[in-house]
Amino acid sequence: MLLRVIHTTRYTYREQVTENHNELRMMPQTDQDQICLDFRISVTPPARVFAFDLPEGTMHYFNLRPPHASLLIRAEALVDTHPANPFAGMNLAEDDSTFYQQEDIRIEWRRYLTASRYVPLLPETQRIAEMARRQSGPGTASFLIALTRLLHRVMTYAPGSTHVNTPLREVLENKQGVCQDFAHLMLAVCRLCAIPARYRSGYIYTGNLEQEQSPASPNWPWPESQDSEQHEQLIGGDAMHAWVECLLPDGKWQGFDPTNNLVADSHYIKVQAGRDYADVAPVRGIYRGSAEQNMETAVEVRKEQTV
Amino acid sequence: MSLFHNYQTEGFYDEMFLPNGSPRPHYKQLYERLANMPLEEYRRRCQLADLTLVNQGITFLVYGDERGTEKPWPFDLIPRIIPANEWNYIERGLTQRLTALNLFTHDIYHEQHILRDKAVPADLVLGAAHFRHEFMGADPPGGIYVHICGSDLIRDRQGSYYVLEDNLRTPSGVSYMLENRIILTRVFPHLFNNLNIQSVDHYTTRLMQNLRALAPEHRRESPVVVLLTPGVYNSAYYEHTFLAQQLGIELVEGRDLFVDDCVVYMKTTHGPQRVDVIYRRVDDDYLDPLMFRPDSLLGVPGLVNAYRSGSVALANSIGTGVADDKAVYAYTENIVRYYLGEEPVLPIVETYLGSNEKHLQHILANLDKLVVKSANESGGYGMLMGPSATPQERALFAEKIKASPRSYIAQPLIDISRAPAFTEDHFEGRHIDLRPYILYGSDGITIVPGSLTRVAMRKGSYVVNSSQGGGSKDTWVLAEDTQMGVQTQC
Repeated sequence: MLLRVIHTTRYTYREQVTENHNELRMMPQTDQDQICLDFRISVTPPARVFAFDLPEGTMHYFNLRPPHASLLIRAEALVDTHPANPFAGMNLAEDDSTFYQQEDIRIEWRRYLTASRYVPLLPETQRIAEMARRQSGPGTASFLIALTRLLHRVMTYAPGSTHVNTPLREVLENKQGVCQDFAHLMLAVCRLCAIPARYRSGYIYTGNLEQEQSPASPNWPWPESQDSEQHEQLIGGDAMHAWVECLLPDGKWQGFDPTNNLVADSHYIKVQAGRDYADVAPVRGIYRGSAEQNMETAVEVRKEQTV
Repeated sequence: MSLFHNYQTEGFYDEMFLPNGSPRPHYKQLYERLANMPLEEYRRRCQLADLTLVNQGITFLVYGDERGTEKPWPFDLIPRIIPANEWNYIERGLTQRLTALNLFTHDIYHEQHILRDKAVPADLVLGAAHFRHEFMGADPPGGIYVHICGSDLIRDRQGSYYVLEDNLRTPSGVSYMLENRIILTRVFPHLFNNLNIQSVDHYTTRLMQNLRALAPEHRRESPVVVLLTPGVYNSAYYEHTFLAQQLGIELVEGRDLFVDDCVVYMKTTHGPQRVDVIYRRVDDDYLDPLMFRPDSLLGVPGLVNAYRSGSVALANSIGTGVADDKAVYAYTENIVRYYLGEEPVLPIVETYLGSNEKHLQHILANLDKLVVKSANESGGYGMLMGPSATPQERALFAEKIKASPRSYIAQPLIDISRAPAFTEDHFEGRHIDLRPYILYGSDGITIVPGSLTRVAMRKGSYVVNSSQGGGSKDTWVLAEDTQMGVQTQC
């Protein structure tokens, strides 16, 4: 699917600020599932933008020294997504847990198996894992699908109910949050179960979903539950989205989206993967001046017919 | 009466005296000069030295001490002498060690072969507080991560040397190595007669050469080098001012620098001046608020990205703390074997890791015999001297260890060597260590023949850190062709 993303972020400061340094993590990656055909960043007031290849993906950086009262960052990407059928390789019926007990796996993916800044390994999440286990087959993929569905069912998507520093424990108690919180909670459960799991930032194309996904997923694992929930408007299209990627025993990182109860497919555009939000925040900045600022962000993802 | 009257070695290895009470051959000449000196004369020289210290403003700061921010650094006048053969051995050992530790750091931030081959546990390295994942794949100039290293050596009852730790982040103390020599020459000019003592004053020349060579190629003709200090409240601020002056470079704080379009500039009265090399004495965490600690005012926003772009060099590089973590230390002999295929020249002290279940049991069962250290602290903070601690102190520490085993290591108490130090009206043995400074430049490793010898000034104390009441001595390394007999042991 050929998708165009336009992501704008506007900061308005109460007073003029100076020495504004910003790191951007917005460029879609290129891998076996997607190709980033074009990517541009423009900054107003104008600044020279530098690109760095870091372990999590490409980071763009710029600074503005002269005083300014607002900052507009516009990122535009053209991405061709063509993932293989995510369900084709999934083993749902066999117990493949020995894969995760291998020492090499634990060493190689230690980073995605341990607690991180926003993902404490709360013992309470053990209960969630047990519930998901009861509702799934013996395969790890089956467990992860059940976990995705469970979190989607018990958690309420409530914009504004949390902020970036809301502790996971509070999210768990109130059972509500935004896509970041859903993702962090699922990460905590997976890591507690010794399944390497990473935070994925990206974009989601929300148009025409039911028409396109059903034929592409013949093995849709929960046909009986494909109820009205699936036909709701997908969440995450008007901002940057977040979901979870887990290492499956075939060595592939598969995306699971607890906010939408979906397995990542061609509607998903991958940007960066990290331990949690802190590693891949789309904008990280620091400036000199009054702390009072207002941020507006808008994301548009649309389907293109041709390049 | 001789100042050495009734001097006792008390079973410890004494740098100056043999167990039978006669001076070691390489100390003989010094002994003869001092033994007959009247007390008043010696005291007068001590006062002269103290006065010089105060006049020069040689101080350091003790965190958490309410008596004022800066203290003079206690200086003991009797030098520590290292014969040429011992120095050669130390030099070989430390060169080997720093070569291996640099290869290790490079490997950890690239392919991590050593972890895959399980020569060092991955958990220990990747879980180390100073491991910087953000720097995976980054390439510092010339592949060198550690440009300046200060390693601490001790000797046991037999006089064998051991490496106690390596300081690979922002090692301090080298100014005392240089200052002690200057003061002693002034106070005791005749002590140096006929002795073939190697000079240390080319340390700064060598360091400056190495720093200049780090500049980006097109700027190497006349690079601008600065020393970045956290400021006057840092314990080593005096040293920062001293080194900047000796190196002939600007001493700057974070607020004196800024980054524009990935280039670092220094604010000067003539406008911004481009900076090519930063000898930084600021820890990783405080370098750049954009990268590490947004609350930090010490750093320079954008500095890390300027470094990534290659427009400026840092010495030392970022993330070197992964190789001087006290838990990783336990594997440094393996690290030498792994990268160099050689046996380590210098041994390390047997080390038990809190992260290892068996070791942990051993530590908890033997707290009265062990020295327990926090894996991530330096300067003698967060440490338990088991044998001299009270049962309550040990019990309290046991709880801390159980709560966070990864954070602690333990070592048997080594009866470290002693040397005479002056106390009121005579000499008494005091425990000492040795910190040589190792410079790693594009043309190899240099160790200036000298060191900082730290002295535990309190009777019986094993803790030599300046922050814990330690003092220092001038350290003489003798040249090969010295006329004095050198002892063969070691």
